Amino acid sequence: MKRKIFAALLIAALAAPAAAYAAPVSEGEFAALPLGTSKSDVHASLGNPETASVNGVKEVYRLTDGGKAVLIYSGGHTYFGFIVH
Amino acid sequence: MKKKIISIILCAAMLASAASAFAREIVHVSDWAYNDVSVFTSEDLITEGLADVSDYRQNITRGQFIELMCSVLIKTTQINKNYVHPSWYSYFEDIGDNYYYQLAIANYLVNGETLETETDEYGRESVTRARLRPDEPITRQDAAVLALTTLSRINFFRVQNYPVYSETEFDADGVALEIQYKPKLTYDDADSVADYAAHAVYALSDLGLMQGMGKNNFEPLGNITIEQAISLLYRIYRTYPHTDDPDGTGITADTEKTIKTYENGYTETKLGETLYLKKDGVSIPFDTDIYSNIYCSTTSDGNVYAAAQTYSDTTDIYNAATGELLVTIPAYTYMTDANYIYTKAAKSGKTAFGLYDYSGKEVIPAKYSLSEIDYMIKNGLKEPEYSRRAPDGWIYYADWSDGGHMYKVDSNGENKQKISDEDCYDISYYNGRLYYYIRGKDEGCLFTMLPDGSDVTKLSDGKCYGISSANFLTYEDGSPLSADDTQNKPYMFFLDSVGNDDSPSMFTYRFLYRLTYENGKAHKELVTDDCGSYNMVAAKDKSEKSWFYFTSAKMMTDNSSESYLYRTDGDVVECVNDKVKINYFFPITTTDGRTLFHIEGPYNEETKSHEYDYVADLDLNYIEEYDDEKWEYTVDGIKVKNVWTSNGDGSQSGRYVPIDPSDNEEFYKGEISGATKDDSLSDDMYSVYYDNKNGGMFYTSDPEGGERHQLLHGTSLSDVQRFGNKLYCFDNHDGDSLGSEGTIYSIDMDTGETKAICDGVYSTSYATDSAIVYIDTGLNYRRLDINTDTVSEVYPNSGKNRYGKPIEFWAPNGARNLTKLDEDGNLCDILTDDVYVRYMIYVPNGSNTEVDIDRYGAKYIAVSDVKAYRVG
Repeated sequence: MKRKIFAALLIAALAAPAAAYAAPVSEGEFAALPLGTSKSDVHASLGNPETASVNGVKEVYRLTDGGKAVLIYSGGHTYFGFIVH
Repeated sequence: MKKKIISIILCAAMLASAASAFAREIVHVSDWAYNDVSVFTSEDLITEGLADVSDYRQNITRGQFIELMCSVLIKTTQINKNYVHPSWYSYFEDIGDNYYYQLAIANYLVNGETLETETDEYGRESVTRARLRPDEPITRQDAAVLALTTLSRINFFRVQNYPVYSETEFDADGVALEIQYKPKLTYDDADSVADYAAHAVYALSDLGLMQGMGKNNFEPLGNITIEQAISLLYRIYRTYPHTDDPDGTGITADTEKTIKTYENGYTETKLGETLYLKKDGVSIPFDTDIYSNIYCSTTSDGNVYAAAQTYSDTTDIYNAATGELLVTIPAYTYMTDANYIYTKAAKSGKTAFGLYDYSGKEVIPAKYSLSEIDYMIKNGLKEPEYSRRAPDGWIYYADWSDGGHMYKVDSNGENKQKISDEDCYDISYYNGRLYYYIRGKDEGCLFTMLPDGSDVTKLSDGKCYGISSANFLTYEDGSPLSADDTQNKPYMFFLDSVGNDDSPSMFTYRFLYRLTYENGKAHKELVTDDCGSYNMVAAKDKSEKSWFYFTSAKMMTDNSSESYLYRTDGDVVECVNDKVKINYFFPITTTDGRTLFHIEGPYNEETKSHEYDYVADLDLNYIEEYDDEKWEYTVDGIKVKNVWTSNGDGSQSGRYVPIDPSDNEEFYKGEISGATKDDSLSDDMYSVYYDNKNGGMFYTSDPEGGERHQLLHGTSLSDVQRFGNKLYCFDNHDGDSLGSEGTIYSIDMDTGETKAICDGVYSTSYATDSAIVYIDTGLNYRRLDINTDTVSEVYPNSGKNRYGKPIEFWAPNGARNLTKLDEDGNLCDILTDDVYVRYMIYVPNGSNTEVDIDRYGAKYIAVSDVKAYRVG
C-alpha cells in the first residue's frame, strides 16, 4: 500500500502550510501561468505555495496585492486556477 | 396575430458527458463565488463557450447561460446525447451548429410547445422562425424565468411543488385566460420586477437558488454575471434529486455548525467553506472545494478512518485520529462500515455498487446491487448464481445514435444486428415482415423487408401514411385491420401521395392501396384514387360488415375545403351521403361499443367557424343534441361527455362516457379497470371520484355522491390502480402529479380506510400480474408488495438477470432506455442509455404481430383501462 505521510500530522489535512517563507507572487505572473504546467515547473516559476492540500491537488498562493490565487492539479499538472478578488 | 409562448429555451437533458477537455484560462472570480465556481469547474460543468473567458465577474450571454444550464442538466439527468434530431431545432435561425442550443430547442419542441406561432386569416396556426439571440446578455429576472421554466419542465420536484399564483378567467368571447398574479416579493426593488418574472424570482429566492444583490435588492434588470449564473446553477446541480448532495451544502457556516455525529463519537462540523472531523481535541479539516462528502467509521481493530470523496472521481482514505492520508482509491464512495468502503459505479443516481477494504484493495468491483453485495458479504464474497432464461423474442428499433438505422436485439439484450442502413421510423411487424418508413432519399415512403434485413421492397411510390402511423390501419393489438375478416385473407391499406405533394398532409393523399401477399411477395391493389383521409376510421355497420370510412381528396382539388364521406370494404367504394359536406370528422366510441362520428361542416370564412358541428351515426344520421361548449352529446336519451384520460404512454385520448345530468358539479366517478356491474364490488365503484374542477381524488362511501372527502392531491384517474378490494393511489402533495415527490396510499374499498404506504415516491409502475408496485424515488428503486403492503429496496444490477418482458423506461426528462425487470424487480438494461432507441417494437417468439413494449415511466403508471363517470 502506498502511503503519503506528511510531517504535521495533527494539523494534517488540507490547509497545512507548505513553506513558511513562501513569497507572494504578482497577479500578472500568476495569470501568465499556462494551465497544464507540471507542479515542479509551477514551483520553479512561482516558488512554493503558501498552503497546499494533503492530497496535493490544491495549492494556494498569496498575491502581492493581498489577494489569493488557487491552483488545482490533476495528474500532477495544473488543471485550473483562480485569482480570487 | 402573433403569439409568443415564452421566450426561448428549455434546456433539458441529454448528453452523457457535458464538458470535454478544452483549453481554459486562469480566471478571475469574486471571493464570495470562489467555492461555487471552483467546485462547478471540478465537476466538469464549465462549457466550451467559457473556455476563452478569463473574468467570471463579467456578464454572461444568453447563449453561455443556456450552455451552462444544459451542462448541469446533462450531468444531473444523465441523458443520452443523441436526443437531438435536426427537425426539432430547424425553426431557429441563429443557433448554427451549437449543440447546446440545439439541445435546448430540441427539448423545448419535444415537449410539445412552439416558440412563436402565427395564425392566418383562416385561424390556422403555423410555426414561424424564431431567434435565440445567444450573444445578448441576460437579465437576472430573465435568468430566473429561464431556470424556473426549465426546472419545471424536467420535473425538478422542488420547483414543481411550488405554487403558481394564477387563476383562469374568461374573456367576453368565453375564451379561457390564464391570469397570473404577482406574488408578494420582499425585495426593496420588488416593483422593478416584471410581472412575467415575479413568480420565478419569488420561487427561486424562496428556494434559496437565487439571492439578492445586497441591501435587499434583487436588481431584476441588471445583467447576470458568469459567476452569479454559475452560483445559481451549482445550487440547482447539487439539489437535483438524482445528484448526491455534498455534505453541508445547505449550511451557512459563518459560525461553526454540526453537520452530523457518527456512532464512534466523531462529529462533522462546518465553518466557512471547510468541513472538520473532530474528536477529543483533534480536528481534521477538509476543504469543500476539494471534498464533497466525508464518511467516518471505526473498524473492528479499533482504527478510525475518514473516507473523503473528492470531486475528481476518487476517495481519499485518512487516518481520522492523525489526519494522515493513507491511500486514494479510484472510486466514488456510497457509505462505509467497520469492514468496507462501499463504492459506486457512478457518482450519482441509480447505479451499481462494489467494495474496497481500508487498505485500498478492491474486494468486489462496482457492478452489483446492494442486495447482491449483502449476499456476497454473507457468503464469503462468492458471486450469486443466476439462472437465465432463453430470449423470448426480438426487439426492433431505430438507433438515433447511429443515424436512425434499424437494429434488432434479442430480449436478453444480446445478438444485436443492424438490419437496415436507412434512417427508419414507424416500424411495425406483421406476419413475418417488417414495415417501416425512411428519411432521406425516398423520404416518407413505405418499405417492407424480412426480419433479417433481406428482401427489401418499396411499397409506396410517394410519401404515405400507413400501417403504424396514427394507428389507424391496425387493430389495437397491432395487427392490421381488414375490412372483412371473413375473407380470412388479412390485408393492409396504405395511403400513397405518389408525388402529389412534397409535404403530404391529411388533405393531400390520393391513392388508397390494399396490400396482399402471395408466396411471400407483396402485391398492392388500388382501391381508390380519391382518398383524402389521414384519419380513416374502421367501423362495422348494422349488419356487422366492416368498412373503412374516409373523405374524398377533392376538397383540395376544388379548393372548397370540404368533402363527402365515403367508405370501402376493400373492394367496393361508395359514398355514404352526398348531401352532407364534411370538413373534418373523427370517431366517437361510446361505452356500449358503438361508433359515432363527430362531424364538422365546411369552414365559413365570414363567420370564421364551421357551418355545423354535430354527432352522427355511421350513415350520417343526426344524433339529437350536442353542446359544443361542454363537449356533451345526447345519444338515445343518454347524455355523454368527452373525458380526456392518460393512455399510459404519454398520450391522451378522449372517451365518451355517460353522465348524469342531475349533478351540476364537475365530479366524475372513477371506474377502476376490471370492475363491472356484476362484480361484487360494483357498489364500490361509487367510492372514488376525480374532481375535474378542483383536481384530486375524492372518496365517498355514499353511492349517491354525498359525504365527499378529499383524499389525494394532484392525482388523476390514471394514477389509480385496483388490487382486490384496495385502490392504490399516488398523492404528490399538492404538486403536479408528474414526477413530484409524493406518497402512495391504499384505500380499502369496503371500509374506506386510507393508509399511507410509502413516502418519497418519484414515480410508480404497477405490475398487476404479480401485485407489485415498482417505485422510483429519484435516487433508488423500491418495490411495494401489495399483499403485505411492505416496501423493500431494489437496485439495478448492471445487466444481470436479464429476463422478463422488455419495458421502456421513460424518465421524467424524456430519456428512454430499453430495459426489463428481473424476478426481484431490478431494472436490467437491455439497451443502455448510450443507445438512443426510437420506434421500438417487441415481437415475441411465435407471434405474427408486434406487441407494445410496456412503459415504465416517471410520468405515467401502467394503468390501462380507467374510465370516468360523472356521479349523481
